[in-house]
Amino acid sequence: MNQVTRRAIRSLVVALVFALTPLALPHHGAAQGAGIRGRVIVVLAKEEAGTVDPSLRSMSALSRPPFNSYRTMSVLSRERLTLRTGHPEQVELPNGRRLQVELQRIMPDGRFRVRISINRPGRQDYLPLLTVVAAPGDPFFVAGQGYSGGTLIIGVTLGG
Amino acid sequence: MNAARHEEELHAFLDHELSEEERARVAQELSSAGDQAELQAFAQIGDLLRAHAEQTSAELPADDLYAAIHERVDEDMRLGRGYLRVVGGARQRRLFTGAGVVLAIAAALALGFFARGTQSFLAHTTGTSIAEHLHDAGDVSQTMAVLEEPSLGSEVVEVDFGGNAGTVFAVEGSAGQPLAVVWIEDEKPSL
Repeated sequence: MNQVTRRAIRSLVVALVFALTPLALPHHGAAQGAGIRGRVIVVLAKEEAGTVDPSLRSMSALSRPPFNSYRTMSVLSRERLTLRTGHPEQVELPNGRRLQVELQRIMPDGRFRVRISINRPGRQDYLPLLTVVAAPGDPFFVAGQGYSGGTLIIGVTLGG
Repeated sequence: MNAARHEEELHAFLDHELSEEERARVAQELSSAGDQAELQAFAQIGDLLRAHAEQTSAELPADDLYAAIHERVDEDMRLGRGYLRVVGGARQRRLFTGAGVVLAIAAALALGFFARGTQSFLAHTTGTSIAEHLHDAGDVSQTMAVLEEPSLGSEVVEVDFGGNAGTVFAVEGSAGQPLAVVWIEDEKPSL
């Protein structure tokens, strides 16, 4: 391999590295700039016969076990968040606790790593720490809190 | 100094082609962190290429190859086709190298923009709509490829239930992907 070829290949490799490096950090700019959109839905589920809020039909997971044992579901709140790494956002829950959501980082495969906690202000009385990795548009759920004769189901969706 | 000239000097610096005075001047000019990083990148790639060249050249039948090339050049000249000819000296090679560098950067930037645009498109479009788009274009094989892409869902990495009892499991999403569920009892169990 002569010197000219070596130089050309060397230049090509360096140029490719500089050009493609941003692609190895997907959405990093979005996380630091405009932020990642997040949605939090709080559902009150009861076992007694009743109706399921039609807007929940799009969340097919809620029609599968164990959620399908609840025959009544109503939406108590919907919150929209804008998450940036290192800047936790809080959502007030109907039982007085606060849900805290913090975007930790964006994984190389594009999924979001988030840290969650649910507690009363100044206390750690329910869920001190939960770390989840979620694909954009795919929710995760935290359920089990008793409220108003039923159970709270909290769905958190990022991106998508 | 323009970028091509600057890069040419970096190559010459690394390949020990500069005079002592030129080398000292270039070394003085390479004071910024960016220059040092670029120089280091060039040097590392140069080392890799040199190592690869040495390894492959040792395995090549150099004499046979040289003879074959000579034969081909002679034949070409004999037939008067002019496809093959003796290339110029170092100045001409540098000109070609410079043009190659510019072309390589342009190609890399174009590739970068293309890939970034594609990624952005994919990130802002659902799998279904991509499939529909491809289907409308009549490309069934690409449609199948998109539909086979599994959704990653969500999963719990770490959980601290504190003093409460809880469990972690997954439910199936609309595309069959696992969706994480953390179920935690509200009150501490009575002792």
